[in-house]
Amino acid sequence: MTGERLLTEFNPGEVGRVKKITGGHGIQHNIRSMGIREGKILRVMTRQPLRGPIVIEVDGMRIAIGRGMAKKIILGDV
Amino acid sequence: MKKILLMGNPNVGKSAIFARLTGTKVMVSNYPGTTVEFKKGVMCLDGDCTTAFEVIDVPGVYSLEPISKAEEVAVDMLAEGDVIINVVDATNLERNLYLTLQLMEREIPMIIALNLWDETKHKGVEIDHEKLAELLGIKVVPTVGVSGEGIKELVSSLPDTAVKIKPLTDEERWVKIGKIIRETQKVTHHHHTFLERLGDLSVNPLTGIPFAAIVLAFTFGMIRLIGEGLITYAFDPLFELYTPFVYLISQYLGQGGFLHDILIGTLIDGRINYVESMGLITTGLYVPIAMVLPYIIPFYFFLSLLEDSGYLPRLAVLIDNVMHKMGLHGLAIVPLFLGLGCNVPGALATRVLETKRQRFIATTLMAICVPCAAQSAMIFGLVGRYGITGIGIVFLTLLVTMFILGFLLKTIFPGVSPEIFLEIPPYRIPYWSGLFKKVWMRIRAFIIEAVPMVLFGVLIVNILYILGIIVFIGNLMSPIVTGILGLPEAAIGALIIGFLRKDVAVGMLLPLNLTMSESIIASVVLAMYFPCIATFIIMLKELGPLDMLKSTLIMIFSALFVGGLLNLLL
Repeated sequence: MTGERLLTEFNPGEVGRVKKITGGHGIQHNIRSMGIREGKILRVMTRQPLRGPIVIEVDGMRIAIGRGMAKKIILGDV
Repeated sequence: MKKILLMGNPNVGKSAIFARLTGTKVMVSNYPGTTVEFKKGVMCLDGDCTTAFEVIDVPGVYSLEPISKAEEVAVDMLAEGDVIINVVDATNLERNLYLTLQLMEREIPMIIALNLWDETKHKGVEIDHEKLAELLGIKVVPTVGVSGEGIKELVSSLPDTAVKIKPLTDEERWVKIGKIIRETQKVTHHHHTFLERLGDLSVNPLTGIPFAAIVLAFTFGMIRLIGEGLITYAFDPLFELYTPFVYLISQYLGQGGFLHDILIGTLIDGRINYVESMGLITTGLYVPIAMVLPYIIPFYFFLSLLEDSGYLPRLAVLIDNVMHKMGLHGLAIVPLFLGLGCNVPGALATRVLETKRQRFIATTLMAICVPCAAQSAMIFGLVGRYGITGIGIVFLTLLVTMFILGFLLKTIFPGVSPEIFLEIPPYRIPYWSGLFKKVWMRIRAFIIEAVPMVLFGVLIVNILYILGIIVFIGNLMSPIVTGILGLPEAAIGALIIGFLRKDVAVGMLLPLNLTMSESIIASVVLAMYFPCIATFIIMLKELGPLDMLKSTLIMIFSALFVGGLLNLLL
């Protein structure tokens, strides 16, 4: 696993470091103010079936993110 | 009076601190968005209250750029504050500091309550709070809101002057926060606790869905068990003690006449029947106290337990997918769930949703398909006579209607559907004294607000009957009620009273000796056609007159359609 992938492409248990957050200013701001920022290490806890939300762990917090928003988060290797 | 604003991220314990400061009774839960409207209370600094502050519990925000209505309320409040108590989650310092810096830029005197301080230890987080105060330039007090630790020091250190800092860009703020965190916080590795593992299992679809089924089945089973137990062993014996007094009054009034009709009601075979007599001091007291309250008590206990444990956000994640089919997202489970207790707080809780469209759909669905606890208790009484199948059909019909109607509303009213973006708090062992206080507040609200409404409802029923108005409207409406819904004309009285109180309305059906299918249809129609007056007023305020009109038309249409369909099928 090398290079950059979207958060939606991660499987449960996988870990990645946030490389970039894309999308409009508002969305980027919301994502960052929840504590998901460039350089942070995310662990995917679960993916709900049928394109449901993804639950990640960041800094010991669990956050549920819809798929559309998760696509805006680009992760690289840790 | 000077105003203190309690501000901070969602679910950091602002309401617990508010309750400590003011002694005001407020709801404290373990999910983001418990407080959707600001609450005010007064804090006295001395015995005779000469030095006092008005304390305002503001809904939680992650930043000063609001994304939901509850958050807008919070940001608007800022202009009025003289002092800010910034409540910070000590286990999530980094993210919380973003709002802290934004608030400091407003140059309002501010102090930090470093809350959930007790949780830092088992989370392996160590914070040098003195260093933090030094770096920020404002006072920092470690607190534990639910137990009261640190609250005295917080109050005695309220600042008078603001610290001037220059406004920063987003980028600069995060750089500054990074620097502060490096100098003040040490995180050591800790082993996952049982609660954390359970937390992850209950949000994983494979284990979480069976877990949810068990939790819900257990909860409803227990509510029924405890409710029936309370009726048999506590409330019915209580009314047996009361019965001789009622007979005495009945004798005194001569067993008939206007006053007797209103107070005692009709004697059934020469005897007082608490369910059927329909008098103020017979049925009027028996329905709310001996039929509804026994279910309200266990219901609110379990609802509060689920709220405080942190289970609701996990349920929100599991159900997110289904909610999207209705134009909502998972967090809409919160208003729907609260609506099972009482539709009024349910309607208010729709404020956790981001768009007007979501709030419209969620409120409408709740008003139509979510019966409140009082109504459910009476449905148990009415339909339960025919066993569990009838009750099952009623609730299944409401559930299926919710999905279909939600799908239709999503299609008819187009618009964007925001996605779920929700912090899932850790499971917490409820703080029992706080939990019991909350249950008591809810039961008390039922006794104070609902019981008089029930009595008023029964009074209105009697007056309308005596004046012949119910018979008049009955004749007018009978094509619909008997024709479409297949109910006896006598059920019209219940439908009229249903505008006022649903539990009384269902109670009015009891003496009619309806068949099982009639009971089911009547229960479903009563649940759907209109909210009770209290919910109506709140909905009107939240939705505005135009949307309320739309919502009302949808209610009436749904009730007639589903009721008519049941009439054909059953």
